[in-house]
Amino acid sequence: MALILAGVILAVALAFRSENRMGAYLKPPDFVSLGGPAQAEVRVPSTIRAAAALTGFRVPAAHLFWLTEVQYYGDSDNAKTRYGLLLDYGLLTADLNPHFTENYLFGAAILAFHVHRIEEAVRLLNRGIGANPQNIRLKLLLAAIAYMNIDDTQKIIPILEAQVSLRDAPPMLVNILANTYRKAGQTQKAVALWQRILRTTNRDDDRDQATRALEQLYAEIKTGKKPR
Amino acid sequence: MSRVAAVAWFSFRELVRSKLLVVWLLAVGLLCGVAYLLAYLSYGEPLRIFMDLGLAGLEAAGLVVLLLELAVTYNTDMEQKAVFLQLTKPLTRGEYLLGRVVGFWMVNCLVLLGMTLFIGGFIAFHHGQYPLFWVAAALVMIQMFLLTTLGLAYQMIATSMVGTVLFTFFTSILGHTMSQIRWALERKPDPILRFLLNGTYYLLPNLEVFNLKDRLYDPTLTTAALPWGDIALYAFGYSFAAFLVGWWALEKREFH
Repeated sequence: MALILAGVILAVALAFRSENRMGAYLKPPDFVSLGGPAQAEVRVPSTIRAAAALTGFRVPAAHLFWLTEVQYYGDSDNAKTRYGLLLDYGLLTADLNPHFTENYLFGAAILAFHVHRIEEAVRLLNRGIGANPQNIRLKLLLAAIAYMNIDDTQKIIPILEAQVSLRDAPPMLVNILANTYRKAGQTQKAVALWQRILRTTNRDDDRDQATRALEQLYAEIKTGKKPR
Repeated sequence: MSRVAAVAWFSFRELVRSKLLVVWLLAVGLLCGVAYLLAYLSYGEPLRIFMDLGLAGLEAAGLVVLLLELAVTYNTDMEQKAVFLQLTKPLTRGEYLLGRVVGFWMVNCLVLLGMTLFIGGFIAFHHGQYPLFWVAAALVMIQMFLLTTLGLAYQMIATSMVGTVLFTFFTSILGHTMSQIRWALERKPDPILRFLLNGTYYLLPNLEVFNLKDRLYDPTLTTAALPWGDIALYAFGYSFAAFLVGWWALEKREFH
């Protein structure tokens, strides 16, 4: 009996020691820091999400919500409400599987380019970029949305600037920010950015493009013409 | 060791003869079929979605097989007293229990391996390359070893089949909540709630250690990054503790 008890204590101590060493590996995705107060605003039943998060079937449940989101958009009856629950489904899927980038791309593209709810699209994309900072496609889509929606650039430009300030910002993203500055009438900022590209790039194509863009900008500044 | 192997082989044959492998056919047909349908009704990377749902089905199938094993053997061993025949043989109760653990796990692995090969073969046939799939499946098998040991320990303690099955089922559910329990404990709840949460945390196994299927989309996860040594030690430590408890319970149990 004493031997068995000693064995149990030793075995449990060994197990807990191993578990404590796996701290980083066992850390679950932090719903709160990634999404903010999205959960309080969700209008679709989320008991499945809670159950999935607790029972270790988070990713399969995310796929079920993803399937629901795709089918929701595919059902033309939902056009009457302009797909009002699309963001909710997107956020639910993101809660459970924050690294599933198709969800952000699909949802944000529809929200921005089909139903023109730019704020919701940006919110979903920001969520995706926060969880997947290395993913270039999300950043490019955000930049494209900013470029297409000139009225909202005052809100989107700071986000693009934050992404461009990162060390590995893709050249296309910098390009889009510079063009967005130009369209928003912030010509001096556009000039500064193209000059920066010219100084730092080692690709001939980027150098040529920066040169052409600067020539156009200098001509606009000289003549006082606004960009088209 | 040969006595343990004999009990293991006997347990394996007994469970296979009880048509438990029908679960494999149901799992492949039903679970994989549903996974296939859902993946292709979806949008973007259907093969990957099929793999994710297949892994969920794999774990569910393993759990179903284990619960059926426990139910079937409780009925024959404890209620119909077939265990008397085993215990009259020249083997200790510890050897008997160890042989049962190995035999149960062998049947479970047979079902899980069959499903893994089916899903992996389907993915490979469609030119998909997900090396972490095989790793996730291997971790499910290790998890089932731990649950098998725990389930048999419950069987030695329990006084009814329903109790054995329910305890094992809820352990497998609660085992996945350990990260959330720890999160709740960090928020300093009421003393009674803290006592209950601590009890759950320290008594039940943390099955998130083996849950790779919820981490496959993490871009920083690689096979090399997995703490293999700690996972193996955790599985061994917890299983050994559960085995000792089950052995003690079996030694104390009186069969009338």
